[in-house]
Amino acid sequence: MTLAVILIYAVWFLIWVLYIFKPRWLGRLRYPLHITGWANNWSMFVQQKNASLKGSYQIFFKDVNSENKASEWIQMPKVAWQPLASFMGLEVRKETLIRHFTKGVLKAHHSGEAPDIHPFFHSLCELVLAHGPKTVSDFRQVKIEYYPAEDKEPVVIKSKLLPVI
Amino acid sequence: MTIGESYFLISLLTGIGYLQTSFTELAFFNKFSRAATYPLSAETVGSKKLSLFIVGSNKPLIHFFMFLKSISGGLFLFFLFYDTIPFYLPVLLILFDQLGFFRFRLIGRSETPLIRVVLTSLAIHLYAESSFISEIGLVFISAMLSLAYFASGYQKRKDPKWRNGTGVLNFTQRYLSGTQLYSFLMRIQSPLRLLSYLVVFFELCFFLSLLHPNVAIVLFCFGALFHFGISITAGINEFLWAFTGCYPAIFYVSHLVSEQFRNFI
Repeated sequence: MTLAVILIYAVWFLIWVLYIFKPRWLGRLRYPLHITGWANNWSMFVQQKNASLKGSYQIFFKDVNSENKASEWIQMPKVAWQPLASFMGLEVRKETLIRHFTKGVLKAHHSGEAPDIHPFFHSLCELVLAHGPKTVSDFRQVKIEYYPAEDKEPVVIKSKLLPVI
Repeated sequence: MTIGESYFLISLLTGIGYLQTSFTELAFFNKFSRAATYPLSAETVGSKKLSLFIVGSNKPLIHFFMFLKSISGGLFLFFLFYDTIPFYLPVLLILFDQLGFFRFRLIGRSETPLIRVVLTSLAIHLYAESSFISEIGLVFISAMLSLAYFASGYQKRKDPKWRNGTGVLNFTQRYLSGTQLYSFLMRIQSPLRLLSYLVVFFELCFFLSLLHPNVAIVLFCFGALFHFGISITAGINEFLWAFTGCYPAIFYVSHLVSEQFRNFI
């Protein structure tokens, strides 16, 4: 029993070391370990070299009424500090979800897929529609602007006019 | 501090963190239901072999697992105070979390690997009822925590923003912009630069806490402040419980190491 426990702990420790410092050595195991929550390289608040989002992005929306009068593009407000965030940080999690969706949409864009029909873009639009600033207009259009780190043209992905629920 | 007391404190802090995360997930997926519960598929997850877990991450099972997580987290704390945690309860906590994890990870769950280290060690401690195995468990938790901190410092050291001392500035800009605190902090940028270097230094040197209890206490104070600061300013509260929850293991091991060292000389 003791030997088995020591062996389990030693192998687990070794897998973490490899995952952090030599991830390639783990081969096919690397991705499942990460997405199932068994390993992490602990790179929180760090810009990684192989990150899919190297530049910065902004989410905009504009409101359009039934007479086709449109507002200017308005930037989706970023995470707002809340005094009780330490107990239940819903806003920061919303921000993480938006980032997750944006990454997925941009990945689709880079691989040549149509990003505006990607399910993540649909979910992102729903999030902006339902939880963005309130509006009295009938429609809202959502736009992602991605500014790559290098001197490349910004990527712009726009939705159709979406009915406000 | 005895082995039992160490495990009690570890379980208490980890249990609070688990329960808090479970309630937060319940509230989050309830509030952002339409956007956040889109159907996950093998394609969106990027692995066909893990499709078993995808079932648990979609409606209606995801709500069931969130409910189970909250209940089992509460039971865990309840049994802890009566000193009667069954050995399989920590395993169930891991299982319920695992079955819906593809959904939970969408809103940030970086601390999960450390929580699983703690829960597994706790289950083995409760099952084996051997002080030697329990001690090995504490050494394991300490080693994994030290590795996590070291890795975090190592990754920051490679990032130009942390190397030039703007890591904390970027963090405050991302999470506090528009607040009075942000305007105040922007006026005192030099201490923030110093804090950036200090954070990296702390993370790289945290393993030294294993050498002596006094060193451990100093590093614990900085660590707890650091995690509390992130929790208050950014609302990222899961690291506070996950990381500080492992401190009692480090404290126990530092006593062991310093005793061994004293005997040696």
